[in-house]
Amino acid sequence: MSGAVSDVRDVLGIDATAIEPRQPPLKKQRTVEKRPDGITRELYALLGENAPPVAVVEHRFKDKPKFLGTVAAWKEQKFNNPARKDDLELSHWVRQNPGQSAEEEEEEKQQMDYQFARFNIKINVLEYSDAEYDAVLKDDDWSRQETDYLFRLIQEYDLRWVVIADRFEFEGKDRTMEDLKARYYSVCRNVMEMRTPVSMMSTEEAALYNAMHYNKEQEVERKRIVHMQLYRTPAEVEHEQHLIAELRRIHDSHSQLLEEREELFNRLDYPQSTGSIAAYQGSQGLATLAQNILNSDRNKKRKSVAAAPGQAAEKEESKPAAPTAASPTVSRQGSIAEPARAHAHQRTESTASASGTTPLKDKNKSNIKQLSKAEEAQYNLSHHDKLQPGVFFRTMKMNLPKANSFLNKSPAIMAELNIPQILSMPTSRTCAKYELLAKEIAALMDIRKQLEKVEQETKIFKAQEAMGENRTKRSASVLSDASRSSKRPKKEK
Amino acid sequence: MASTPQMSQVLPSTTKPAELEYGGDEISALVLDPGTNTTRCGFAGEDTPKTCVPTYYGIIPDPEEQKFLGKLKIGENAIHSVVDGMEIRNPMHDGIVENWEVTTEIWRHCIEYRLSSRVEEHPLLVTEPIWNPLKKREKTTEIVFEDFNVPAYFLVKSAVCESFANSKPSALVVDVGHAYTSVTPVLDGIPLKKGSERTPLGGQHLNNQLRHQFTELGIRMAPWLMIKTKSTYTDLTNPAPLRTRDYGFEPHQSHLELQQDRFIHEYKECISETWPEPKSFPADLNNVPENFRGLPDKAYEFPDGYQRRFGLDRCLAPESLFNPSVAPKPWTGETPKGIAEMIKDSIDHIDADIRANMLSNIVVVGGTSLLYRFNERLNQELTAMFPGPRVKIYSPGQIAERKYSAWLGGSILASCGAFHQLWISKQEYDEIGANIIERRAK
Repeated sequence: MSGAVSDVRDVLGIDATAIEPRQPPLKKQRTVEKRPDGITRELYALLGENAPPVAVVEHRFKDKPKFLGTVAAWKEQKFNNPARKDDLELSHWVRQNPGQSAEEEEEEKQQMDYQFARFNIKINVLEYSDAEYDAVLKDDDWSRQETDYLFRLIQEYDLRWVVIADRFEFEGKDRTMEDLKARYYSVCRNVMEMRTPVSMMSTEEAALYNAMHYNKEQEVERKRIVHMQLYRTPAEVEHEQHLIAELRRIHDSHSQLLEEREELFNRLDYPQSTGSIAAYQGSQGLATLAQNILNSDRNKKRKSVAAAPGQAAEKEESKPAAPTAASPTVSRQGSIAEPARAHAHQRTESTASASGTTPLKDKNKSNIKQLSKAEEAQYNLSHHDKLQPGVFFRTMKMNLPKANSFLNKSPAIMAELNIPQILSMPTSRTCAKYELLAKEIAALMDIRKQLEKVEQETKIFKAQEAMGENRTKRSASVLSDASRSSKRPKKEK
Repeated sequence: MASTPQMSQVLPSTTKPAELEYGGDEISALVLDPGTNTTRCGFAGEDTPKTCVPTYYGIIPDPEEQKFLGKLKIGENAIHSVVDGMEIRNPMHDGIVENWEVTTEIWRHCIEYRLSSRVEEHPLLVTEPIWNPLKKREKTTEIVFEDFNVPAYFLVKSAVCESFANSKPSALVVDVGHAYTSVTPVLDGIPLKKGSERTPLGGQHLNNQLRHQFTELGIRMAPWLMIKTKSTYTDLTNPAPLRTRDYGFEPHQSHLELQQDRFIHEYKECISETWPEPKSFPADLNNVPENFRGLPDKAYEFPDGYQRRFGLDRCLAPESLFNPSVAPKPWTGETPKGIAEMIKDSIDHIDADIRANMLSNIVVVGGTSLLYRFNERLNQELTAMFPGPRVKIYSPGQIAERKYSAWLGGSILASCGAFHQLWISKQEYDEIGANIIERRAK
């Protein structure tokens, strides 16, 4: 190759030495600059030269869509519908399978029934013979022709009684739907009974036979009530809605009452002892019992001590565990105050260890200055049963009612009283006052609710009385039935 | 039926839906929905009719034409052109065909000229009102098989189509059309004859009322076609001069009325409004109570340039649909029932058990129901009338669906696989005769 190049140079008369051998192009060095500290990787990647934020749009036509597979051929094909009595040929378009010959298709078409033909469903309506008609179906009101006509209509309209009654026109006779139904069911029953006596019927037949029983008067009455239901006046509708709401409320409160009653009974029920008391009748038995009780009591106390060992020293429960702490004759109140005071003192000396309290207390006992109430208030000193470690807001520890209704409604009442929701100066005294106020608000809300309930009930009774006077005539009304039934549970209350 | 696609999944347009799920089987049938104002025609399976031809036709007297005693003009362009002596007529009366020769020509015009189809190649579905008498139904059957020579044919009640178009097998169909308003209960696709009601309160009634109202006001009713140039004016006592176009002859009165109907139609669309509350419309518009909450005015310019602002009086004609006694033009015969009363009567005539179902499935269709706030008013009337049961009105939101509901239902029916067993074939007609329609399509 290089020989060929030098030949060419010779021909062109170019001095071979005049041309420096071409340097290989300098390898582009990718300088990886170190990312300075304090810049995130994402931000750093945005620095420097970047591709311009402009998309290059090529002006050309859209690509041809890629279809999967070949396009199927469709063919207009004639078809027969087996649901038809004549041989009308209609044509529709069918998709052709690619590798199928015309004969195969023809064959397939012959085999395949028209798929919609299976929707052609007819109901089975009972048929009767002339003999059967003469034997059991004769009726003064219904002629044979009319009965036949009715059964034709039933077959045609698939037992849609509304339509049958709508289309029934026979010699100008005025037949209601109930007349038609009564006739149909009586015919069916009579024929069934004649073919198989009731005692011989199978269970299904008997069930069908019983289902065919038709009470015309009841149906007429039912329709009358349905009609009345449709034409209620707005006042009646409103009254009815009111009653329904009231009924629901009564049901709710009734179940609540039952629950409460049950709970009360449970509480009143003392546990029935199962064993005999003969063992405890002697003095020795009693002594054992007392010992047992004492033991179980002690166990209980031990458990609670074990549960909170860190705070044990500040508690009255710690006494049995550490009998040296205070004399057993110390009154209950004093025993609470004493360790608490000791604790307060400890804080002033900034000794955090709680476990060392007991000996410290002993040591410092003589040093404790007994403060009067006024002094305590002055130094803002307070005593607690239990102190939570850590810092917290006093407002967070307030004992407020937790009910939802309180949480929802109390702000409005507070606003009414011109008291801010958040205490601006939550000292222990304001907090205590605030708690008291919250309790009273909760009580107020309860009372208001009760009052509303009672007022509502009186209103309803009054309305019912007024209604009762207005509608004395309409005794068959559904509404009065409803109101009567809704009154019943109230009387129980 | 390999798999049932979920509701959220939309089938791509290239995939064929599962056969029985879709339920359709198109046999390229034609659907014809003849109305008093327009005749709608198109291919079954489509969602709007391909063509909508005016049912009005023109006759130009010509002694040589024996059949119609004149030249017949059919189609929008033909009837709206100004021709000397052309009289405009309508072959229908009360929704029923009166003049069969012309109707045949109109149907042929729809199918052969407008759709460019050969009528003998397609099964034909025709709609009819529920009160169509047997004679007319037989006549339709005869024409369809003898004149058109169709392979298969069926006649279906328009109320049934309308309930199907709103995807309801059972509904109380309220059709507020051009010539009439009808209320028909439909149960499982079968119309109930005893509960069906109709009155002549429709678009045509509104046209007549408005024409009367304008004439009372002293407005010149010159249609657009007659105006050469116009200059606007607002004072009726001092009108601008009427400069009419000179055709060299006087157009026939019926033609002028048809042309007047065109701007009255525009007025109905833009200005007319239904008063939304029942029973609160003032009885005397000249003496409205002072505290009565009125309506903002709307301005309309008549073809001759007269501009007028319409206030409460634009509610007057639509109010007469609900309360016919307030109609500006007095009734010649008995005052018909309002629409809400019709519905009440219809409900009273059907079985008590299906009344609640009907009231919660009221389908309102027809071009005149597009009047602004029409459904709101109807709903208020009905809830006041039936405070107890739930009253629910279904009305298609699309204008085309509202106007062509009957056609659309016919289109759905004729492209439905299970329907194909119902067609009356030519063979059956040849065997039994025109009376077959009574046996097969009840």
